[in-house]
Amino acid sequence: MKTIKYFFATLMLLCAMACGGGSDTPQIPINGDWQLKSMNNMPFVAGDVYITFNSNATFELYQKIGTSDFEHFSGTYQLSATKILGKYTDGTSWLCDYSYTIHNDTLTLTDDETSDNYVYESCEIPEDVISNETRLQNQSKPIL
Amino acid sequence: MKKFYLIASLIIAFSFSCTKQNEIENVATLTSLGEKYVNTPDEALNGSLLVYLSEDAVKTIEATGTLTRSSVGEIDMVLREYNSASIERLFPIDVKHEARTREAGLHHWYVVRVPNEVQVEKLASSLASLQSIERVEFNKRMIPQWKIVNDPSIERTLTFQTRSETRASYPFNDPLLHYQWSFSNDGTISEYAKEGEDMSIFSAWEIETGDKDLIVSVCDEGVAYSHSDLKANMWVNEDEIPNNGIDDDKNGYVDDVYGYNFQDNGPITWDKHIDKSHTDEGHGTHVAGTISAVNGNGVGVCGIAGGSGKGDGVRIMSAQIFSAGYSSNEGTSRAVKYSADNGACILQCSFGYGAGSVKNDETFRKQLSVEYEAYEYFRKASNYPALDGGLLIFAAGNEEQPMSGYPAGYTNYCSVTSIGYGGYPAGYTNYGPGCNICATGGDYYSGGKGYDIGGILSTLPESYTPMYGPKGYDFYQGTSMACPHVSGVAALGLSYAKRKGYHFTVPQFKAIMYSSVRDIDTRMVGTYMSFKRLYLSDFKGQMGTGLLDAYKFLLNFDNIPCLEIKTGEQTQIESPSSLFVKGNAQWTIKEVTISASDMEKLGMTTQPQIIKNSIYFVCKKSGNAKMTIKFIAGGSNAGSDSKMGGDVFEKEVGLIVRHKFNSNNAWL
Repeated sequence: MKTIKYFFATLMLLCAMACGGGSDTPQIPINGDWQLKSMNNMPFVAGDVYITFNSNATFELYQKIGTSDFEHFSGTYQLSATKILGKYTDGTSWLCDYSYTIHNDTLTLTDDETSDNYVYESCEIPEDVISNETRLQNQSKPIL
Repeated sequence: MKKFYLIASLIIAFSFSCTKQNEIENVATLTSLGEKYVNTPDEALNGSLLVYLSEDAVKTIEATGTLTRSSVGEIDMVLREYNSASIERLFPIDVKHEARTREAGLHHWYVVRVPNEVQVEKLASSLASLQSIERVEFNKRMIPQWKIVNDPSIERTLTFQTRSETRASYPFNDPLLHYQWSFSNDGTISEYAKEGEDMSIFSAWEIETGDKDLIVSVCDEGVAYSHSDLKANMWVNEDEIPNNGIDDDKNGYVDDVYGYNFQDNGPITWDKHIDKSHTDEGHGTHVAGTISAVNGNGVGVCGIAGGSGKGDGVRIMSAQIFSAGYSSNEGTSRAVKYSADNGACILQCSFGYGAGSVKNDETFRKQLSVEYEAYEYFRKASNYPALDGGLLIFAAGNEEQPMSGYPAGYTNYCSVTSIGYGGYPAGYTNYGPGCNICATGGDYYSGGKGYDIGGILSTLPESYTPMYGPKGYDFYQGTSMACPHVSGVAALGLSYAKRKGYHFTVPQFKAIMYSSVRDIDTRMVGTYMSFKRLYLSDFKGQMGTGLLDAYKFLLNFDNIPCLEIKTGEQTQIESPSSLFVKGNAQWTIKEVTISASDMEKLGMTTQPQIIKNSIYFVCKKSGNAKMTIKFIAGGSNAGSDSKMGGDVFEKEVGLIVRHKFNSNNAWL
């Protein structure tokens, strides 16, 4: 009897693993918060960019590039084994379908067409970035 | 009409900017006196002379000197020629700051006092011949050129209506706020007032209202520290016991609770009267109110950095240098040093020498030697966490001249010009080289008809009878009134910077300030009426970078402008000032730099080129970097030793170079 029990337990475990996700959503740790650290091997100094990839295939983008406050964008993304592409809630697609790699706490997105690459590091997005009371909602950069 | 212009001319000629009536120092006379002479005896005060002792003389006098004898043989021989002559250090010892004082060399300055009937020229000649005397500076009398003239042609409009009868909502319950058009101008105050011609103070207050740990020193007539709308925001020297006749904190001054009277060497005063031409006018109290009258107390007016209504306004220190219209190099220098040693980070100076009396920086340094050294001592003192140094803000002057007066025009100091409520230059304002920024100083006659409300409403000593305002308040005009607007906005900016944990050098801070302006130059076409007809082309590009906007200023602390450029494409930035300001701010590009390593990574083969005030460059590779642009604030030439000009400051700009950008500006 014991042998049978173990057999079924193993069978069940194998089934669970097989059902853990479809072939289009592999179990890789892109979910979480990321901060842009460099672009084409140059430290990113011209602004500040944070991204949150949620497990429900949505994302939040917080960027401060030429503005006094963080802008907030959101949308959905699709992930394959090597590519990530996305679309904003206003219907605009991302600049390209990025190739991506994750190594330890580093996420690299590459535009294959231009070879531009962007390196993000895992982080905790500061609360004042997310809850910015004077946030600009998807506005173009105000030149004061 | 002729009578109107005569009266108007009288008023404007004596509008509120105290000016030294010194003639231009005669270079030939100075040369003939000898190289030890800092200035000429014209307008010199009797009874005293300022001298700079040699190192050896200082050692001797500090070791064994007394008030009446220096112990330096040759000096004492001269002093013995005069009854009751004395010699003492110009800057009293402040035990906390003596090391810094000595490092600056200020301990070399002494004042020789002799009876008033003594000819100071003869004394100077005797002392200048001594080896132990390196410099001789006459103590100059400053004669005020302002007078209050109650002009019957100026219409009185103030009816003391309460706030609820006028605009729908105000940030504070101070009943006279409606009349402070310089804070927020809705255009209804008179037919010549134009909506929006103000310093955006109401909007700025949504972000910041001041910090009680920040001290602004008002170098002026005494501030009426007991005024009901100022008292709560006065700086108090907690280490000094009032009225006990003792220098409790050993800073060199007795009973200096709210500041000190450096002209009379005693308690602060604001209502001294000698004769019709020599009387206090409430100038210091008025200036102080613009900066930090108490907000939200249900009384009178508001101050730009007067707080949130919870006792947190910036503090006013009264560094009194005028008394019944008199002042001196000696008193002014002491006041400036005192301000540095007792915690001020902004020096508010609505005074100066008449435009043209000092023509360039080198003359200023040489002929206002001890004053200059005191200003530099202040500039290097760090008394506030957000700022590495001190800010000196001066009125440009009211002589209607195409140049700033000094010290305002000195390259490292801020010179403020004035506009009225119509958004046009005030009829009296100086403009041109040396002027850095514009603010609302008021103009009774802006538009052509005189209204009291064209002036700036602020606090006045409560013992005075106002010309136009209610008791304790009045409308004044002048670059003297424009200057505290800049001081107040600077105080707001520093308060905000401290709250956000920022720290700036003085040039960095001024760069943000000079770039936080609104365009006034595009309207400098045709003519405009004040007490005289103004030909506006005279003022184009001459009022500084623009009209200081307090709201933009606060937002700009968090903003590094960024250029997004396509890889491989020639980039032309036609009006670089548009990176920082909308419209036509008057900046001249001096230099554009980017590091060699960033240039290589971005595929730039040459530094950006400047052609006719536009910037050109090409980045052949994608990436990002920072570029530094050097601007001249106010005019097309930087100030130098030999020629007055604008202040030079730097701004950083981010560069992002990519092959493509999203239409919605989003990053991914």
